[in-house]
Amino acid sequence: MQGILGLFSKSPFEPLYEHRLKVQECLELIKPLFVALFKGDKKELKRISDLIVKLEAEADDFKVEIRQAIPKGVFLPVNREDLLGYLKLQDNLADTAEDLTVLIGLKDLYAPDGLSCEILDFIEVVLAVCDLGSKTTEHLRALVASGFKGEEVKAVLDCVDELGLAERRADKVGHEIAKKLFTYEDEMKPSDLMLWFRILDLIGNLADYSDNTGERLRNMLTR
Amino acid sequence: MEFPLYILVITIAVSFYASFMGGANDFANAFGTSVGSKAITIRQAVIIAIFAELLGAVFVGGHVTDTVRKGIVDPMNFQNDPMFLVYGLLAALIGSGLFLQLATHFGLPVSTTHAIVGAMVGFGVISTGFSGVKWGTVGSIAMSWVISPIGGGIVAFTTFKVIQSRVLKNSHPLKAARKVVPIFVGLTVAVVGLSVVYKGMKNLHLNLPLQDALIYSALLGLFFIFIVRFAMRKVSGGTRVEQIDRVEGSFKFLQIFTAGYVAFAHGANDVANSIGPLAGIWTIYKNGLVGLQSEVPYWILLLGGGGIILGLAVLGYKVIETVGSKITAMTPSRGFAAEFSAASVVLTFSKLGMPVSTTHTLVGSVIGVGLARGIGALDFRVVKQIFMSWIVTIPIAAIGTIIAFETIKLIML
Repeated sequence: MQGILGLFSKSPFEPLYEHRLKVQECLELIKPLFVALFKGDKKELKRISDLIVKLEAEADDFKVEIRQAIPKGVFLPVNREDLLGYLKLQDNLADTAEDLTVLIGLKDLYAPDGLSCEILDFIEVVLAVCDLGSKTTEHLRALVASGFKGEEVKAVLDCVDELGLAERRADKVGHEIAKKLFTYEDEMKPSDLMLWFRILDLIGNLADYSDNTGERLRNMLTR
Repeated sequence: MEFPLYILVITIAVSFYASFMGGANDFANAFGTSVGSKAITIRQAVIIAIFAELLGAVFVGGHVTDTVRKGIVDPMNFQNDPMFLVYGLLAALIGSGLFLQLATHFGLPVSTTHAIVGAMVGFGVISTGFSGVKWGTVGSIAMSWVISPIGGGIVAFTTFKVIQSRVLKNSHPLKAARKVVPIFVGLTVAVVGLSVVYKGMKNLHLNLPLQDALIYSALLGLFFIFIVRFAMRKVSGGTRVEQIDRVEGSFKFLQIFTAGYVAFAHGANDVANSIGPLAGIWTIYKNGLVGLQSEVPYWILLLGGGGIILGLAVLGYKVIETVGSKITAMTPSRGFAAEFSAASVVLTFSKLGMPVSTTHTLVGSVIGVGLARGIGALDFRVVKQIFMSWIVTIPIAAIGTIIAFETIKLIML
């Protein structure tokens, strides 16, 4: 019993935004995670790691909800592939945060004192990119309200351009810090070196994913 | 000829049942978009519907109604045996009522008009054979499956594009709305006015020629444009997002108008579906003769209107309640675009003598707004189901009628 109302499918854009909020919560915990690591505060490290894992699982619930809302045959104002790609990228962000907790927990990770400050700086630069990425999701909501036309389109495209620039800056910082890591190769165990290299790589990925969400959004607009 | 009173009583009951089912099926269709966009609550929708449907049914609902709806079967074929026609009309009411109940149960928005047409086809085939049915009429109704959704779709697409490019896209949406909303109000009022004064209020003898009707309704529209412009002259301010919210608010007001109009038109057009056959039987009961057209007493119109109202309040209410809450993609501007288009298209076509269905047109209109990227998500799989249900309306209502007729014959003859 639904009549014409049966035509309306649940809009995937609200859960997409909810998903983004959860992802953002995960990301905000990355810095405290590393602060706890550098301080050697095992208890705090465990607490934050657990929290990230929990939030990632909650984000996954929204992901499932969105995927179920848009089976083939549901007509969307944007390309279905673009929307799913956008969701995938957002999901990668939370997954990466979870992967970081795994890597940190693998062993008693040695962190050279000289590097800790720069790693935290790098994290901040990357998180700034993620914040910009989160803004694009807010813009997407506004776009749905205006029917993908008008002022919002320009605002979104500006935001996407800014995102691209920020990602490039973060990349540069990432390269510098990787170089610096290898100056410690004599005083670190190879396993620590390998783990840190991998961790820096993952942090850098966060900026890439955020940038790519912007590009997906651009695709939706130029449909 | 013998006409037992209990047959009349049964007919009245069945006619009420058919009205009830018609009201139940159509309520969600006429008000779904308004409730979905939260322009009105379900309770308000029921109240508006009660007044608008009853007004439409009693004042416009065919003071003189064709006894056999839409001329599918010639009643003069039954001059020698009026009781045969009585049982046929009764069977048609049962057939269409059952079909509507089935469709409502499965949540399919079908046309009550097409259900009664199908029922009459069934009666025609069983009584006078295939040659007794005017297939040309049936064909033109089948055409409306294509024409009405496409017409509604095109007008709704255009209407939403206009709202989008003039208002939503504007850097000052509220300022733009001050210019555009009054024009839409004026247009809506003119359309409603035209439908009332042109071939509308037969009961009130307010039947103006087209030219006069156009002039009067245009003047009425202009009058409203000035009033609304005046009322909105101080509306301004806020950020863009706040402004969009307030613009949507002004479309809410418009939607109350169009929703009421759709209900009014529904009461006017669809009450005849269930009371037409009853009126025919009433004439035979009173005169003992078959008539082409019959004077419909007010109590019959009230009965039909009452059935529609009860149906929408009892069953239609539930339909909207179950699904209305899950809609987040509908906003007042979208709802207005859909309803305005549906009402205008139905009016235009029906005044041109084309039998189009409000339901079909509204479905097309909603899809039109969706194609203009106005709606978050539309389930096109449901569209397929809905189209299928339209196509099977006539055969299933016909078969139901044939079964009902054979059963009645078995008992009575």
